[in-house]
Amino acid sequence: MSDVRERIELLLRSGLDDDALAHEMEPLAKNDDFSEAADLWAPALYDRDPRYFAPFLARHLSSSEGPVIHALLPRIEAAGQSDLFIALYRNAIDEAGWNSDLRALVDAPQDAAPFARAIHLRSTVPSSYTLAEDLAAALYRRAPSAFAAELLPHVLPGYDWAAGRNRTYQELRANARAAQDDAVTWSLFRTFADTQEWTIEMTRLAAQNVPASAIVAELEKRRLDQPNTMDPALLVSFLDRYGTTLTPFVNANLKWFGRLQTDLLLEAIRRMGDLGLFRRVFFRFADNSAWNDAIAQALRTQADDAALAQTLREWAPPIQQLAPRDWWLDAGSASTLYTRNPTHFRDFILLTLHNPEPALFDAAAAQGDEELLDAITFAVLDELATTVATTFPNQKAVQATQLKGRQRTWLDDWTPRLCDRFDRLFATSPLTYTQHATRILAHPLGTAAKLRDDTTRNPVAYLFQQHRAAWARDPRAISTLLETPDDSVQEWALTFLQQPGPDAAARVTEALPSLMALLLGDAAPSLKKMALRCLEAAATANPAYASQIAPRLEELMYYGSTHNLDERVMVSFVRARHFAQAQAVGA
Amino acid sequence: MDITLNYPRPTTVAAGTEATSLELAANDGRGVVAFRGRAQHPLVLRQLLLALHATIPAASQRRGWLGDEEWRTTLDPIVSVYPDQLVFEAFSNDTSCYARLTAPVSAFDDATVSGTGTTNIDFSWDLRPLLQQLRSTTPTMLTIGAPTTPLPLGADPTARQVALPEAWLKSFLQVQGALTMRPFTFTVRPVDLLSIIAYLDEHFTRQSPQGMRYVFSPGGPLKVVLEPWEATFPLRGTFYTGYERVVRLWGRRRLALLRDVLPYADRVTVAVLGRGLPHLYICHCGPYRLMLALSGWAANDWEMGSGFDLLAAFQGATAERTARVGDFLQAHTAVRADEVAAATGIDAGEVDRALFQLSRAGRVLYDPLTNDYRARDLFGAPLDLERLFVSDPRLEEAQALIEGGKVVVRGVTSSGASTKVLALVHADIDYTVTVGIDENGRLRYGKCQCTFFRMNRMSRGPCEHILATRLAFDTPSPSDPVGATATDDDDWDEDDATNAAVDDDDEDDTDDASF
Repeated sequence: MSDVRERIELLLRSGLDDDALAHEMEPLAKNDDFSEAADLWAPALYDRDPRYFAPFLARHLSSSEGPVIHALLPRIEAAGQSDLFIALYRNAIDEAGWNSDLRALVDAPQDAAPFARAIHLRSTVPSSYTLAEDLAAALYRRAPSAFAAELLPHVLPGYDWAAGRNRTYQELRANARAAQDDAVTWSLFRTFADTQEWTIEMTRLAAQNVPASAIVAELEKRRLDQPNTMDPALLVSFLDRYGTTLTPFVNANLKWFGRLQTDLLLEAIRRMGDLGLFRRVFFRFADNSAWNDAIAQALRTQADDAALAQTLREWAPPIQQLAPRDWWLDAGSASTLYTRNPTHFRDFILLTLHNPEPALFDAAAAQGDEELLDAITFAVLDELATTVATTFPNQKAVQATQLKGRQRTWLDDWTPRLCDRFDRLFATSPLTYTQHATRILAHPLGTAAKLRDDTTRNPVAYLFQQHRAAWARDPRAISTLLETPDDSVQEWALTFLQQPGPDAAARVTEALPSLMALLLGDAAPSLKKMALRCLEAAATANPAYASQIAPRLEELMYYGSTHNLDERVMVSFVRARHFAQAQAVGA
Repeated sequence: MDITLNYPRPTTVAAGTEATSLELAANDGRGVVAFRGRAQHPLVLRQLLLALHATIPAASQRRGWLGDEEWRTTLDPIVSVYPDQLVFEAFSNDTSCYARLTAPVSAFDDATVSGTGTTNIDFSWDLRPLLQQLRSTTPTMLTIGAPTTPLPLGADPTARQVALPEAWLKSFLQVQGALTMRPFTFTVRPVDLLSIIAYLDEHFTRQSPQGMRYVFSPGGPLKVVLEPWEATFPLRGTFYTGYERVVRLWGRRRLALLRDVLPYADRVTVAVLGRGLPHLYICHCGPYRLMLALSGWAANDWEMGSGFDLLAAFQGATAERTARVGDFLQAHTAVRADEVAAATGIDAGEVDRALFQLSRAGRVLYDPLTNDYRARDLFGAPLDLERLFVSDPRLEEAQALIEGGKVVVRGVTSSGASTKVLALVHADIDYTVTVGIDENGRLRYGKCQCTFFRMNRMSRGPCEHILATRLAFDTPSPSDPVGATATDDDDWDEDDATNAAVDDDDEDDTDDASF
């Protein structure tokens, strides 16, 4: 006999009152052998005081003690201890046992109220438990209301291995129909009706003159859980007949509609004349290719720019999407639109720009359209990121000369355009350059950043290596980059801040909240080290900065994360404080 | 309850080089509510709005998109525009978290309040990357309702019917009532809470228990202990002088909702009510405040759990006086309870009860820091409160015990503003019950030996025996020894009444509704 068992026996015989006994049993319950002794303590405690020890039993009897629980359940149920019954029943019963239990119940002579109560007690099993078909029918006949309220969720489709076929619950369905129980009938219809049955039902519905006010409810009743068994043409006939009355039905079932033939559905919605619905369905279920085809056709067929602009407004991808995807305008279409009219179609191009042609860049440069040029620059860098990711997945740094063939040609085509523009912006003024570069870098570069240390000329290396002093002098640029929620962009900003001098120190102090947020967050240790170096450099450059930075570093020392650079923070804090104090003494 | 959200255009963020415009689309079914102003602290505002946004999905959904089904039952956040402040409120899908962002109008330059009131704002999942475009370096104009920019390309009007489950609705209303319960508050340094969040991120266990204990030991700082590691975090700057106490809470990982806010906070006010009861975290971020209210357990949503209405006084204010209190609030921007009492001539206790009822009906907003009350209509449609807050079976059982003469009050002692009642309740067995009631008639603590109390303490509200004792106090019978000092219960005396035991399932005989 285990020690735990002996101890339990001793306690049960000891004459302690309930409080004291419970107090002694709790620590024992933490022992691994405790559950093995459940046959000893569980019935004894229940006998002693069913109510007082109910919480203890609920806490410490689990599925491992199934037989013990089963032995107690009849007494618990007879005593009306519903909470305890439910808590233990769920732990002790598997699906087969549950079906057996219900089978015994359905055959037992009992009045309606106790029967319903018994059903309720047994209904809180896992939702995956499935009722046997014949049992479901029998339970329904015995107590239709209790069945609908408590057990209907356990009438589930699936394969009955014993019977060698899918479950259909035909008997239950027939019983519900015979009882004219609409709620159960339709619920089962939605789950189990096959294509033929559904088609018959829908044809019957179509033959009735259902008023517009009632049609949505009727269609909802008949909406199958498995939509691929439904004939979309039959559904579409309802759309044609009832028009925008069915907009709520389509909206509410958008996800389900998408499994049908989208083309057929879209044509019907077009005939309904509901542009909003058309957009919702199209942008949910159509693809980029279909969208580009529609744009290209509009370009070909609409000569009037104002009319085309209106058409493009209707085809503009939604800015709020439940399931977002990218809608990328074909490069040729983008160039054609801009060349045709730089003003009317510009916003559409900005919204949908992807992998543009150099011709578009040249056209925008000719117009002096700097905002579009920034967007094109980023789109090119984005495409470069894709190229680098697929071609050099495992390399940490990449040289432009490693690109070959068409990829190399493509980059060689873009490099002079982008880099010459950067030169031009800088020649205008360093501030002009950093403003535009900030806008470009506000979008993370991703794997394109692997090119940043390249010794040959490329736009990424240009942005990273050139004009560092200009970055340090621009009050907005560094803060803007640090506030971008992307590690790689923040790393660039910290790199720009590494250079010595009063400008960098001033930028560090201006960006103090962002730097502290970085240090208190889950940024990589390398980034945190860079941030600390910047803070320390700024603190030791100017006592006024030191007096702002030192208290923040002191507070940082209390940050208890394992990713906190405790020792480095302490060193930085000591240096900052020392500098501030030394300067104060000197003053 | 079905609510129609009608947005003629979606919320948009237009981030330019010279300026950024954040236009929050308002539900045009709620009347004209409009505000415009340039945020003085756009970066902090961004972080707070992102935290509000993150509150809405349930914890299990926070790493992914809301699916169609969730979206259909998700209510967009509510914003209330007052002449002096904006208040944003959001409630999570799983009803375990409530967030409130308070922004004074003075935190905006060139501010214009052109329509006060309450409305919903379009706050879809897509908004997250858009909000992340806000920068401290770019002037940011916040507009609520009344858009000033042309409709952007791709912006579609949206109208959706949200079917709010009753349980969700009731929980949201329960939160409002819970906030009026006057919790125990203390101030914490943000980095100390961040350390706790970081620890939870960096450690994982399947072992029980997995609670978080606030340990109150007189003569020293408050501490937080994380189970099962027993990792202890002293809360620097706090000093406790009350009685020894432990408050145990669950669902601690929801604190991570504050992770990206705390680096911008000056301090955090923490408020606790008791074991398994809600707890609040109010982050003071410059002029802004973000309050995160968490239910006592992650799974203990507000509706299922605490039964705050059962802790409140039973005899609510009369309908006429409640209406007068409501009217007074409508006519004033922000008032305290004592101001309402003085102005209306209604007894302070009844004003308190009226305010509780109005809060629970979603018609009043209470600020636990300033103790101000403001008129605010959460849903814009009348609620069937009788149906939502059906009489709790425990209350019915308590009334049955009273009517059956099963409650014998053995002693009543008053001490300052609180009253202690000792009773013997003859139910299935005899229970010795003790309750504490504050000056406004609320239950503050209780003790019973029944199964329900032993399983739940006060985290699901009082048991029927505690309620019956409370009711008996309200309606004494001639034989009750009102005014006599309780002497028979040797576990209890005036000092013990405030001396709640260690919060352990075995040893805790008493549980406080609050300090």
